[in-house]
Amino acid sequence: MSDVITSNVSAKLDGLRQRFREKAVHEFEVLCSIGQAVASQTADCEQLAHADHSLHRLAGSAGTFGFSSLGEEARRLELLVKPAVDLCKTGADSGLANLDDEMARDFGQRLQSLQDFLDAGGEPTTRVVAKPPESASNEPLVLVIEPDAAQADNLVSGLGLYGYRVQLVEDLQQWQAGSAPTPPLVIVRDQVFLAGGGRLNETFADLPIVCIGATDCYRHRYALANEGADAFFCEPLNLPLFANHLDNLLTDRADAESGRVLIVDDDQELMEHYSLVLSAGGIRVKTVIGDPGLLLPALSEFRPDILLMDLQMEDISGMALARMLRFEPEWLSLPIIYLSAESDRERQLEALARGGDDFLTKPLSDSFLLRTIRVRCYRAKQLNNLVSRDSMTGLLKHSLVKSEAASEHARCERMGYDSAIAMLDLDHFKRVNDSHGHRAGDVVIKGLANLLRRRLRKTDVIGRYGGEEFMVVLPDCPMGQAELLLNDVCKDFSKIAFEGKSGEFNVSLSVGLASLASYGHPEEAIEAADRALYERKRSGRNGVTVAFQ
Amino acid sequence: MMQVEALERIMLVEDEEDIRAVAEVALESVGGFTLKTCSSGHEALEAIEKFAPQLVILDVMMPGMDGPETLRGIRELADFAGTPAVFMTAKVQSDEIASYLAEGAVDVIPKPFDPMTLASQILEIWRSSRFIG
Repeated sequence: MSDVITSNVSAKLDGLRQRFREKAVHEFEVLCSIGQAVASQTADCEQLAHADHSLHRLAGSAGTFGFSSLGEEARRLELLVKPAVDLCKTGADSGLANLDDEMARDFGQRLQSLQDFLDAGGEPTTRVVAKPPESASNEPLVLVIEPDAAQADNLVSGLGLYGYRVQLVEDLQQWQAGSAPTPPLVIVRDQVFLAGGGRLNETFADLPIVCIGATDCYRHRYALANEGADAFFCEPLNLPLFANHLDNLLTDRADAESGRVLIVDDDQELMEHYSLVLSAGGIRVKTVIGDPGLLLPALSEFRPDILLMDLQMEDISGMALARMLRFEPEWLSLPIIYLSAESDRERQLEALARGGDDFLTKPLSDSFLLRTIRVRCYRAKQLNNLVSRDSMTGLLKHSLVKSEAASEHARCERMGYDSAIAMLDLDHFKRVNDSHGHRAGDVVIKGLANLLRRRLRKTDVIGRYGGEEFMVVLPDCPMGQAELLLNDVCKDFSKIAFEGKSGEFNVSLSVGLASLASYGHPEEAIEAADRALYERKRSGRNGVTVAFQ
Repeated sequence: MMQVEALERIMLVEDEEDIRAVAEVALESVGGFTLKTCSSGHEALEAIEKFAPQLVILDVMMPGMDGPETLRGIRELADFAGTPAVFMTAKVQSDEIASYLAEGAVDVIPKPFDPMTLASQILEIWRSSRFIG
């Protein structure tokens, strides 16, 4: 269902992007003639005001339609034209009096070249795909560059089982011809990659590139690494392992791009500025003034990855606030970073000894702030994952998924919606281990973990409850929908072919489902889901049974 | 436990047709809200009583009545004196931001915005505005 929404939204956005492009082309004709006038120092105040207005609009809107570089150039030009427009307002007949010939020529030419950014800006919003919203499908799109049609078919259907939507092209030229959004990951035939001579890396800067091929030797691997490939898989592909690796690459990337920061400061303006810089960089920000009474509730509600705090606020000491936070076991491991004009290393160390983790010395540039915070959020998440996640599957550990179920139960009561809770158990798992070995068993468990991650929304909670038992919480999800969704998961999982000692095998899955909101206590809902699971096991396995209330 | 009223009706005041259209996708299709768009401050003041939005998003720079002026007009209506308002602007200088907040906005969203995350941004602003206020 969410798939339909996503493709619908993409189609609409594509249409709007096209319309924006057409309008922009028309706008550029006007700007181009103004550019000529500026270059020859003949532009009048009316023309300058028009350019200013038009550049301001472009700066604010181009990025929304996927033309970020056009928006950024428009912003730079807007800042250049501003003084001239201000001069006009003072009654000067030419706003260009302060501009020397060279600057005027440069500005004029750049105005005339805006069109180039529109053409180059075929790089539509990678962000749309890289950061899906909570309500949209979580399925990633991978780009596959594979000249061989039969191989391509295999790959597309194989990856489809793991919930990957695939966009397929034969070569790089074919991809560039289309105007589809850039996918977050690229899989490419090794020969195509090597023959491209670095062009793929340029086209997909920053994206993970995974090569596949039939040749496997160290020289070949070195050649691929040297060209900048991020991974290599030798054919025949072991699909579960392959999907697992893609998953890790994508999760890493998502982690590196997002983050949550709570800023505590008493300088409202500065806080707003930091907040805008960070949110423009894709980081979620919440700000709170340095009031001890506001800080803890804000933390509990927002749950940041890191806390950024001014060391010396009016009346309030950041150090004391940090210590106060450390009273709560829950916030013992939250990284606290002080913002301070304090450059004395001794004083800094003293502050660190009292509950802080690091220092950022003011003044600091916007780009430095963003980069530092990104790295910090990423590290904090990695560490947090280590303690709270099952090392084999990367899913939440038993106690954590249970506490998530409890908080979701509370949210159901508060928000008045229903959420689903499900227990999942692999069928005849002992037989898998016995006849194919423990390593094959591990691959099956990872396979299910990956399938669940791909199929469920980002907001859904997935945990490994026991050996081959999993728990899933689907917030704000009616029973009917949950049943359909989990039925699909069962069907797809049973189709995955695993490799074992005695050849390929399949494993099926049983699910017990219950409604969280129908029970007074989360523990009761878990028990109900467990009973439904038992019922499903008795009545033939491989499918979903809904708890009877 | 504190109850947070669910956000359903949002009014957007924006003179640019393209941005109105993309916001419709972002807030209606992606976010699932009911959106009323107005192309000017005057239109917004005419439509607000009937639509009764729970939150208002205003472009700062509009010809005629600009965002802050429109908000002042809205604040004069008793029913909407406390309705959370959010400004959208292509400017990020901190002094300007502060002045918008001083006008009574609960938050400022920088332009360009990402159509795929606008809805969750708005929702977060809504929740925090309800918690404090």
